[in-house]
Amino acid sequence: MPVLPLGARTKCVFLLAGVLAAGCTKSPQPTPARGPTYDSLTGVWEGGFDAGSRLAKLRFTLVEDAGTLSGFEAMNDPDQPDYFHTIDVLSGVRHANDVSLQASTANVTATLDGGHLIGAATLTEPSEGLDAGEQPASVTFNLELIRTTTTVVFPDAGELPPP
Amino acid sequence: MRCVLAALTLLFLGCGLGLDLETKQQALDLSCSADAGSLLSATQYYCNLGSPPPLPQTIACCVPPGTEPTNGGGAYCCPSGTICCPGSEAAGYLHCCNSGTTCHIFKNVEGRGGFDAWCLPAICGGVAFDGVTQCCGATGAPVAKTPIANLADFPDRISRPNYIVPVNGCGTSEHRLPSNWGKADFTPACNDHDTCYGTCPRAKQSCDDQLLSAMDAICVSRFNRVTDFGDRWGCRTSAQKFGRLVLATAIANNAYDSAQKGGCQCCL
Repeated sequence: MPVLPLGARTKCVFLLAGVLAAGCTKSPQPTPARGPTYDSLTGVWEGGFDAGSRLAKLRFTLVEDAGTLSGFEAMNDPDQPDYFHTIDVLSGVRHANDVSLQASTANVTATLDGGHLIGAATLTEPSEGLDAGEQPASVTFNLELIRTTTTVVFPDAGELPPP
Repeated sequence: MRCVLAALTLLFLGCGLGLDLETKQQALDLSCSADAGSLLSATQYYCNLGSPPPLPQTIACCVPPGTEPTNGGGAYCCPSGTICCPGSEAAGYLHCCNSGTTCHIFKNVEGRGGFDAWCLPAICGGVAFDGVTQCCGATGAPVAKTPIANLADFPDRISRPNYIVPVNGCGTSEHRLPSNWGKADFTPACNDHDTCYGTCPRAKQSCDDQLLSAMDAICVSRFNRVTDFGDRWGCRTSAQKFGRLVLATAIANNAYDSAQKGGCQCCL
């Protein structure tokens, strides 16, 4: 294999790129209290699930404050897959890498693993309209959430109550 | 050495920009699809459903469009020059009182219970008056009906004749909301909600409950297969939970306030 000689300028460019790549791929978060690798969950997380007749997407917009999570859950439209309907408010807790999210008709338990939230979700149909003693239908499935952005997007200018 | 310093400087600047982005807050996009249908045509459509053939200048729907009419002939509306007797449609017997009469509501203590309403001769202090534009004041003399400044001051407000309740689909004209979940179209339910808000007198809670119930029914009806579970769950949860949040906002409260002031008047 031929080895090309590198000039001083070329070496500098490589060194510059290397330092940038190494530096920016490490934690971009503010220095946390829990340790150097603590990665805040604040951001928008998305994952697909089998909605029966289609592969749907769930979106969780989360804000983490000292292990307490709040935010909104949304699901994409069957006819306009890029449009997400806001469904409900969320609350939750985080202990180290273990994450638990609750909404009125959804529960998610997951583990933060390599930047992904991997776990299971249970969706329960709203109980409105059921007869006394009748149990709402529910379904549990595996869920892997990927953070699409760390920019938190909240409801419009205080028109909705905070999550 | 210069090379390393340049690298560290760029690293600092680059990652600093990243932190700025992380702390940035933006508004959630609550916009939705375009409004469906013309307000006027929708109102005319619903008001002209009845049998016999459409009344000229039919206005002031007393029953929200889309609800089950008690006579099977379509939504009830009071013709021009009359006033809808509040509560009569709920009792199942619509009364549109003309200028020579005024509306009286009675509580049924026997039989089916509830309330009933009748148009009786408009007499105040022994004097006949125009029941459409006047009412019998507290002093026993006819007084002109006037616009309402503050709803809370007039719990016994009455409907305003010749008022056409505007409907505009889901949300307000300034703050639109999604009008559908896939093929589940909420527009008729939202229009009924607009009509409910503008029908006098109506309690906001009652209108809101009616809307959420209607949206839920639309979700269940549209996504009724076993394989539709995911969309049925999302559609119903969004309607019932997020919808309830939206209806509790100042925007919804203002819409109700404005609609009631438009559809109601009072006697001072």
